Amino acid sequence: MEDRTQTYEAYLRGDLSESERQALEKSWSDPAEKADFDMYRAARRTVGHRWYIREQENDLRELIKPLNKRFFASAKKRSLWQRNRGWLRVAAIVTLVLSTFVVIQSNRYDDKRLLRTAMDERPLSATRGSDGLFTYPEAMMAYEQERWAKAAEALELIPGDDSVYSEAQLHAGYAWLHIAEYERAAAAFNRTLPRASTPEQRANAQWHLALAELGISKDTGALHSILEQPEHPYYEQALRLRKKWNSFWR
Amino acid sequence: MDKKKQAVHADQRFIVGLVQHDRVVIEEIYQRNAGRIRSLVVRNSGDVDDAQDLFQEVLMALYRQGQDGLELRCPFEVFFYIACRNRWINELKKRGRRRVTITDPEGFTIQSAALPEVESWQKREEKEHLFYQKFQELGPSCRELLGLSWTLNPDTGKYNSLLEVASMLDRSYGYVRKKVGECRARFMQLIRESGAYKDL
Repeated sequence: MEDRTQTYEAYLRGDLSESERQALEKSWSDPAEKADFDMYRAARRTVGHRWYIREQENDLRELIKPLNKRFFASAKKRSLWQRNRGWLRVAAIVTLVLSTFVVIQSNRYDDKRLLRTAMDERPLSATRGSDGLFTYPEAMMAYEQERWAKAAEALELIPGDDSVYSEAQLHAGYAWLHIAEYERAAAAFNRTLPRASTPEQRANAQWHLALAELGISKDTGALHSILEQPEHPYYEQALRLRKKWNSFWR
Repeated sequence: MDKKKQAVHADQRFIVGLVQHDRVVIEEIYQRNAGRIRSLVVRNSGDVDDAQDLFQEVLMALYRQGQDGLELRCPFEVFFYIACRNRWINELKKRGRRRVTITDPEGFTIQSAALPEVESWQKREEKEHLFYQKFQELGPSCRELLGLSWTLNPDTGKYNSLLEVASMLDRSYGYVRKKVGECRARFMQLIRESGAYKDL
């Protein structure tokens, strides 16, 4: 189809002669010609109208900007939640479960750790001779180097008539406690008790016997014995230990 | 004439307010419709940004048609919702959705009597959108020449003559006449070549 826009334009502006106008209108008996003219007229009208109102249109766009923010931007946060509600719920539950597990684990008492931290080891002064040297250097060196089994076995070999016997048994018990050999520890403390050189040493041995017994069978006989004596030096510690031992977190 | 006037719905006040840039009326349009359109889009594969764009474009289309004498014959909310709904369906199709089933917000019923009015409006709007889109594809000088020559002069009520356009642009009449002819032909060629026009 030839470009007839010049004729259309002249027609719309009323610039065609009468014969030209009639010729154009006659051509509209062809629907394609009429459709082409109608399209031109509609396109021309649209462009003219929009060109005329373009500045007002821009003004209106500026005017509604804050309303867009107010009515839509504020909904974006909600929408994020709404769109991901399912996943966010799952994430929240997983986080809650994990954090509960972590809290329980961090508060949970491990029996061995609890007993080890309750220990009240005394110095090894009695096992030194008057020259300041260890009487039983092999046992004491192993003890200081925390080779617990070696130290305990060496200390247990010290004869019963030796003046450091009770302290040696006490420290053998400590060494066994360190490596959770509770039965051997209890035996060592039981050997200490009748030969304790001082009331303090006796009380200390009782306390550690209680720890060893808890480690063996949860039997709290020695602990009860301390708890029945409020004047016992380890009475307060025994109360705290019992509380922890019976705690939910253990 | 009186019969036609009676048929115009009372909600025509929204169109008038929009055309007059009346802040109170425009805010009322947002208050009454934004939530529903947001819900429509978000429930149907879109997000809040899509809803905002859709709302704004339909509002601007109503503004342009209002400037051109649009008369509402059904409630504004119904008209606006159906217009947004149809436009969103088209957008989803453009995005490659083969089957589009729209879930309407709860508590809102489409009045079927309003459908033909909105669809007729929408068809016109789509046609005009295509025309303006093709116009935008022209160069800036063509746009200015055609825009000025096809605009009614508010003082005379007539289209600007090419002589007046030449004077406005400080160009010779001969240049303007030749250039306008070229631009006009190019513009119509773009529309004729557009597949979208044949579908309208």
